[in-house]
Amino acid sequence: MASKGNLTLKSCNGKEFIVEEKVAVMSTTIKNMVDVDDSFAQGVIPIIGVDGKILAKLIEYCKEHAEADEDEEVKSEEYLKKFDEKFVDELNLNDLYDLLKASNYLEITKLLNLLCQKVASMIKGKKPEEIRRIFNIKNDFTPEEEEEINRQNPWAF
Amino acid sequence: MFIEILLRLPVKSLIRLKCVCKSWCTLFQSPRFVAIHLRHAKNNERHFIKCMKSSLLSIWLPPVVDGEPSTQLSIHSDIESGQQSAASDASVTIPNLLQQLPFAYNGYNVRFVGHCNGLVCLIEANDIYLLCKSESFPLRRLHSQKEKNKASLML
Repeated sequence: MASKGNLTLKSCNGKEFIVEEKVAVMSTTIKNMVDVDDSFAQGVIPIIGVDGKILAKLIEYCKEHAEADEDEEVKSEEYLKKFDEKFVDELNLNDLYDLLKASNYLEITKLLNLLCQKVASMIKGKKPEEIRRIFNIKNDFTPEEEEEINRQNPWAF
Repeated sequence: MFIEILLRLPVKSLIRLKCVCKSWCTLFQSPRFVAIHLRHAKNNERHFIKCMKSSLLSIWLPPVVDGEPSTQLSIHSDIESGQQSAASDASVTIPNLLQQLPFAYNGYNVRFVGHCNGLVCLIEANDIYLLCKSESFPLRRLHSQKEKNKASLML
């Protein structure tokens, strides 16, 4: 297995991406596949359940971070922070959700943390009814039960 | 994964969101979730709660100067030094906290009781106060006897 070679990743809708191995192995899942089975390093790695648009996003993120890990001079911490901020700000809710699922499946820890933090900041400060609407959650409390729960901790409101 | 996200919310948000649905309510009250949330907060909070990770040695309630309480409450902990002595360079200061006290602080009427999981307990006259480092919830007076009993058990 060529340690500095390229890997080919294939999305579920058939789009292929050739990426440097150091970029691809930001994903623990891909790293494990390549480590265990050499044929993945030569052939095509299917990324199940992730479409081309989301895979391109993942690669964009991993590329920046892999390069920064390799050479801190070129991409400083501050640069990465700005990149991360811009990266999450540009996502719509659907992409955010798909990326979360994909980074969870592919075990890209840094990105998963970033996205979880983003969603948490979206939730923070919102009213329960807004949360239900955004995340499509059905309210299974009766109005009386809801009132009782809210009464338990009046200081939080 | 949703739990991963909810762990990142402050306690105040979690309490407000208990009524979103039954499963959230059950989750937020489960001892396991509470324990993980606390651990998460300890690892991520910048100042106050972090100093609680190691033993907190003393709390310094500053004297009143010219009738004005000092704006800083110092908390000494051995987190930096790892020593048993309360070194002044290892202190963590919380600006403006004393200004938020709802009673006049005259330099000696407040007693530091103890601390637990990022909360500091103070006693003034017959009232018990809990302080915590949170913009939205810095100070709370315990009203009921039940709460006071709970606090004394906790500490």
